[in-house]
Amino acid sequence: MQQSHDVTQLLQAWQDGDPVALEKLIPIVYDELHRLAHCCMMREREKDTLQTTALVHEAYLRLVAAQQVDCKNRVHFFAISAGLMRRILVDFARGRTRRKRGGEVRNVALDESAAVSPEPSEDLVALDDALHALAVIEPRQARVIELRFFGGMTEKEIAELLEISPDTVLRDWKDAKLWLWRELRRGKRDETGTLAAN
Amino acid sequence: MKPERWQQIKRLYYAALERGPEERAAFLEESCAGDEDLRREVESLIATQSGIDRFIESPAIEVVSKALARDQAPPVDLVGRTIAHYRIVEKIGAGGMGVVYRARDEHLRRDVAVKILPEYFASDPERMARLDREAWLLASLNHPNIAAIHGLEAFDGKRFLVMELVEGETLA
Repeated sequence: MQQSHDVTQLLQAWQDGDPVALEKLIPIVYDELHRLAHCCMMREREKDTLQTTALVHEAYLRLVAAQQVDCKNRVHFFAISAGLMRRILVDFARGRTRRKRGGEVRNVALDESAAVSPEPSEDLVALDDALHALAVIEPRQARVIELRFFGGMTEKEIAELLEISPDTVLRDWKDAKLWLWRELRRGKRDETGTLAAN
Repeated sequence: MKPERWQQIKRLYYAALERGPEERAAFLEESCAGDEDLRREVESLIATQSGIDRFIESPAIEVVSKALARDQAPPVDLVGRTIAHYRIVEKIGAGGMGVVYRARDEHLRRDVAVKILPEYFASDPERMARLDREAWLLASLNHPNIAAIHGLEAFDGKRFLVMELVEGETLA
């Protein structure tokens, strides 16, 4: 398969420091993930778990020749995929909100209790915005969130990729969660404040 | 917010959680030393700690798929079916807390209102505990303007409230 040959070479070139390789790699991986994600969501929505890892792994196997699988390649592929999955899923959530603006459908709530309790009903789009803000002040923490929440990577894989200890990954994860939670709740309060002021 | 401020809030939040709930107030009183804003920030995080623990622990793709499933799942029509010993007769209302049906209690041979709780609601122990408390409270009340509650039941994975059927116009 011509494409898998390309992807493997591009991954290698990118790791060797060729920035053009990444530009070529992204659309190929994006298309594949996008296709798999939609297909997967349609097919598996009735079941309770959906593994991002399995999905990205499938994309990897399709795009990268099996005989050329190399551990480092795989981690880098997952790293690119995390950012792309974020884009795919946030776009999906945004489109869904737009489609259903009649009001019958709620946002993609990150915490189901938001539907009936006064807790904030944070959605993926708001989370994405908050994550951009976090990236400005704590870029590594934001990256950890992206790799784990959107990319389905394990602590160990993230540690290897970012060349930090698994303990640091875990601490970044917790700190970032706390920051994002506060930020999203603050957003909700501001919204309510504006409504009340009007 | 200044980064130092956030560090301060975060440090106190973690430190307070290491202490037992009964020690936290005194700990925060002392640590915040009159900085009311700081204390409010930390207390509001502690109050939502269980939410923070659950927050974004499920992968994003799962969150999106579940939302999709809720959009697309056809509303299950229970009319004509029997749940436990309640024969569902007709739908009389729906809201965020579930769907209300007129039903026939085949044991006691009377008509009742049955409110079937949403599935995601029934699978949340914290919320079910809150509902239990509300049901107990309602059961202890006896007033002509409050629909009497007959029971909070579970059957075949469904949780539902059985209530007095009040005839008349809907308040919604």
